[in-house]
Amino acid sequence: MRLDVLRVVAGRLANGVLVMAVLSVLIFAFMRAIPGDPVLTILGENVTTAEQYDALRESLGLDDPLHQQYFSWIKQVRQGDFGRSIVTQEPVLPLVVDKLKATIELAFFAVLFGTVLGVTIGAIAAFNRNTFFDGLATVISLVGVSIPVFWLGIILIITFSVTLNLTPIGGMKSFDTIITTVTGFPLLDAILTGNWNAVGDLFRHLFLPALTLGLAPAALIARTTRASMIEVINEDYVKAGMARGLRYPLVLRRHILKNALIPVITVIGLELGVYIGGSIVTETVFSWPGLGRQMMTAIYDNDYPVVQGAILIYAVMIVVINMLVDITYMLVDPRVKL
Amino acid sequence: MSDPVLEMRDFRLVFDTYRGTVQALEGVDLTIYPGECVGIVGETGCGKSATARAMLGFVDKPGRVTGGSIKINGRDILKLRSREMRRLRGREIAFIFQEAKKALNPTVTVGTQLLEAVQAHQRVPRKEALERVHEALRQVGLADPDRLMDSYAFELSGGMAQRVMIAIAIVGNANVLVADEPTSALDVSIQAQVLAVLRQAREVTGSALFLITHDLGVAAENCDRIAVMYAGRVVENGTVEDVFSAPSHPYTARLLAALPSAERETLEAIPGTVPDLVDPPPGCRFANRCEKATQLCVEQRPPMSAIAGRRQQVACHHPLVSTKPARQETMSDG
Repeated sequence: MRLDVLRVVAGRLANGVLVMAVLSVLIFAFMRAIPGDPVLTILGENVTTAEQYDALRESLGLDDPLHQQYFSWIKQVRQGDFGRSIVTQEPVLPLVVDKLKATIELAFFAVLFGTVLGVTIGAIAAFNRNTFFDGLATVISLVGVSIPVFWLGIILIITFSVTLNLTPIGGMKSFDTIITTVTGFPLLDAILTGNWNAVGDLFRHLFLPALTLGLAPAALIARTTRASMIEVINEDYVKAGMARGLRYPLVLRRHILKNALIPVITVIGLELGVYIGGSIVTETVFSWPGLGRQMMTAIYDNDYPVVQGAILIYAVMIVVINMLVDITYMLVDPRVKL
Repeated sequence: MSDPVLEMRDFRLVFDTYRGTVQALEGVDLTIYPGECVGIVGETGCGKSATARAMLGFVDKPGRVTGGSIKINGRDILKLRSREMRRLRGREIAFIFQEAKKALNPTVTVGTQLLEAVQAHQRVPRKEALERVHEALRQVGLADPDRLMDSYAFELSGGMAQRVMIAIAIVGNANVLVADEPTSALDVSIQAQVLAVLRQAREVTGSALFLITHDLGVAAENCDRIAVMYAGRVVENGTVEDVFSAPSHPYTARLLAALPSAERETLEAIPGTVPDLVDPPPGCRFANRCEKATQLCVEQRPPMSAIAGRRQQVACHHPLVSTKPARQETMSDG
């Protein structure tokens, strides 16, 4: 392990702790500022007496002063206990981690799809500059960047699921598909247990949401790849490589792609944040049982511990992703000193 | 004299632009013999770099070759397939770029780039390739090759980077080196060092050098012969002594008069501008700026003619020294 890489990891983690501390105050405050009362959510229409209401409120610890509530929550979180859902009484951490796995599976394929599609289109456009394909790619990517995720999701459902009847409308798997849990990632588990029918079923469910989530980043990645590629193709060191008599595949790999993809890594890193934001909307549109949808439900229910836990987990992910992007950067570009 | 290592005949290159077709190179003739240094001088945009790049088969869009031949060791590269052209590059002809730091890949070590120059053409064991690279680095005067090979372009000084480029160029034992303004991006004190390194390296390898420069002093010190280029044509060529002591093309004379010297109080600029090459005049391209120009110059392109008693040729209707018509054979005995 390189020492400078370790230093970046340590630095970013220390930074991350600070970010989480500030964030925890913000989410705690926001959750209590938005209208709604978790006690009423639980009691629903059944409020009979003020005593009943007060008793429940007290048992949830919601009658304590705010700062006291905050510090007791933080104290729990520091010990790895995110509390229990106000609505279902489930422990928050296992719930959130479980839902996160579904989100990661969706995001992984969206990133894969977005990157492969974006880099391919961008590279082809760069090598065929000012041709019909290049123009088409530019127009499509502009459209791709401009389309709102929720609208795209709905249009895709209407087209592929309703009209063409090719894919399921939503959800992660069919009701009759049963997957033995190994890692908690459904697709991975299905592959590990050799349950190929389930794999097919999961992929059919995964297709549209991954497409929806991956399209906008694909468009941006395509545009970045194109611009960066065109710049690098015209660099002297590419010509110099050819002047040495190198075979073109080597020139392409070592001298063009290695340099052209550095800015693309930055964009992919930035887009990972967008994937997480986009996943909340996408999961809602496609009824994907992920963290985003769980959080939306929890917000409607004023389920404070779940929302707080979910947002903290999102923050951890963003911190880790940024760290990975920085490390990737250092490994591919020797000029980067962080 | 032995056969030329590089022979460019009536080479024509155009650029297709929105304004029309730019007649960038119109019938360029150049001959380079083994081991000699031929310089080419001329102002920016006259076609020096396009000529040099064409020698490696680099004609990028919107450029287009419309005629002529470029023979390297007897083979016309314009007729080669791209695979055959690739085999020639680095092994028979090598290129040294103006800005060495830009010609080195910023994310790949110097060593990798040196090694790939060896391995592009031959399957040699890594150890042997390394030895050759070390040898090349020694020849360009770079000490501590191991440390150098692990470094990146951004860690090198301009002079060191240019030495590395020269090492890359000589490691394949090409018998023609093409250097496009190799010292223009360097400090004056480093320029002389790099040129000396280039000279010493060629003494070992015996390679010929085609040196592009706009610095007449650099040309005078380093070259055996020199060609003067103006607006896409070679207007004069000959030994450095002949051309510099007795320029016969009015453009060469004006170029030399524009050099600063101790005796001169003011520098003489050449009045007028280069003609538009989209629709070039039919005659001499220097006619509109030449004080000796006549109707003949405007209408007819002057042919290349040898100058009696000198190894010098000029393309001018009214040369400054008397001329006789040249035969193809006599013009290449320099």
